[in-house]
Amino acid sequence: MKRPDSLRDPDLQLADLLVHEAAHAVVAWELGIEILHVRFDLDEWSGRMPFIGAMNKFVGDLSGENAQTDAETDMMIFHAGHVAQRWFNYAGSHGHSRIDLWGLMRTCQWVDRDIPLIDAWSEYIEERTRVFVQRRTTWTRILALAAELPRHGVMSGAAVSAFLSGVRIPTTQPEPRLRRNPPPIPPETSTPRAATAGLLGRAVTDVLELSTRARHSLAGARITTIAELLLHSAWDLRWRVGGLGDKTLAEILEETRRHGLRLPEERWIDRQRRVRSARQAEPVYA
Amino acid sequence: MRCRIQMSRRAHPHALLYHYAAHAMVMAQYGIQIFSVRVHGVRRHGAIHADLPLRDGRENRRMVERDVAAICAGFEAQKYGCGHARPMADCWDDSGTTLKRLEPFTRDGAELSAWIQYLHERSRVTVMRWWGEIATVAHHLDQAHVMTGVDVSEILEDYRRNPFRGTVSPFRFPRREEHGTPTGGNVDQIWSRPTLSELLRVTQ
Repeated sequence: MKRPDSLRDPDLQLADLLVHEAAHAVVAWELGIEILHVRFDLDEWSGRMPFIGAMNKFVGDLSGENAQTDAETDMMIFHAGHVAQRWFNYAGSHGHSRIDLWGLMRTCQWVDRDIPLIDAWSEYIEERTRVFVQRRTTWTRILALAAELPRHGVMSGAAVSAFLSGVRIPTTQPEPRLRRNPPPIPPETSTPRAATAGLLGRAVTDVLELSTRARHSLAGARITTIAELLLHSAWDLRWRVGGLGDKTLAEILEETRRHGLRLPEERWIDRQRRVRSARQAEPVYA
Repeated sequence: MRCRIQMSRRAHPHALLYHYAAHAMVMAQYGIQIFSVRVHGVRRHGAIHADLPLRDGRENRRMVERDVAAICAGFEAQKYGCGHARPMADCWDDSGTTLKRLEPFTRDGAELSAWIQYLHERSRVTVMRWWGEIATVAHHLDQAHVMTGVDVSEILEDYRRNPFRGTVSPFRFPRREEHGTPTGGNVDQIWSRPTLSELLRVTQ
């Protein structure tokens, strides 16, 4: 196999092109768009992935939100090739395919004619596609199809679909992003709101067993009740309250935890933890 | 959602009116409930209270884009109405409110930035397209000081029913275009990825 002399970019590798076409196909397949075929010519080092985009079948108001959604689907497919190429070959992007660029521009112009808007829109969809392509599942499928493509030369839409359905995705780590039906976040169990609610109006000194320094520091910052204390993050207490150092902060945090109370960022961390555990309980790709 | 501004004395006298009129007009257009819009203190203070719930990231992106378009409209109208191509002093962009609404949908910083940029552009186009309505609401707001969502809807209905309505352009000020690279800020000197139109060399 010889590299054609007609190629303009001297750095372009065969793998770039294969990943490019495979990414178009995989993103189209994952978004439920009909692929006509994927063609790759080893002699010419050229590829094509014609598809029937959502905008090709769109009927209705072109300035409406449905048109925007359909256009974004097509734009993601057009962007996928170049984005995957860049992700695969981290050092450079090796030029843009003009076919993809014109496809993007035409898709956008169905919906809007304002050029600065189209630029910003295209940039946003490119970033969204990057996030989509970098998902472990999508990227595994892209690499698998890129390896398969040279064996066939031309793969029909049905063949691509059958091949991608058979790609095994390791399920060691569940996918944290872009889930279609995320499981509901379980309610707080460690600290029922009812239990803490009674403490909110009470004085800090009555509820928490604190050292003299801690009591004086909180009083100096006009933090008298538990509710007022829970409005401050640990950072606020450490850096905004006078005379309150690391040891005193640790003491306050320990006391609050002992009573099942949590400062704002701890509540956020706890929520994140619950979300993560809920997602891990249910693998997406079995 | 609550947007509250206090302007400096140097601000354009209509800046605040445009800001709140655009919020109100776009919200009314999208069917978002407005509790009150108010401007007082010789156009120096203003506030809008509307029903824009925080979404938890599971809904359709279109819904949050609609909310954010209504939020960004204030900034874009203020810029457009006062003739500035770039944000100036006293241009209140509601960025905190915007960020809070978009963050549940993505954790990727680059995607978030690009999304906000896109929604600002989308709002700018919306504001330019509906400038007549926004200017009308701003005029009524200047006279009434306080309006409810029903008042805004009635004003818009009256405006659209009027067969003699003309084209309204921003008041008195010429459009100030952005500077070119040599006189621009440092931000112009930083390399950025070429945009789609730059790659294709498309001009409007």
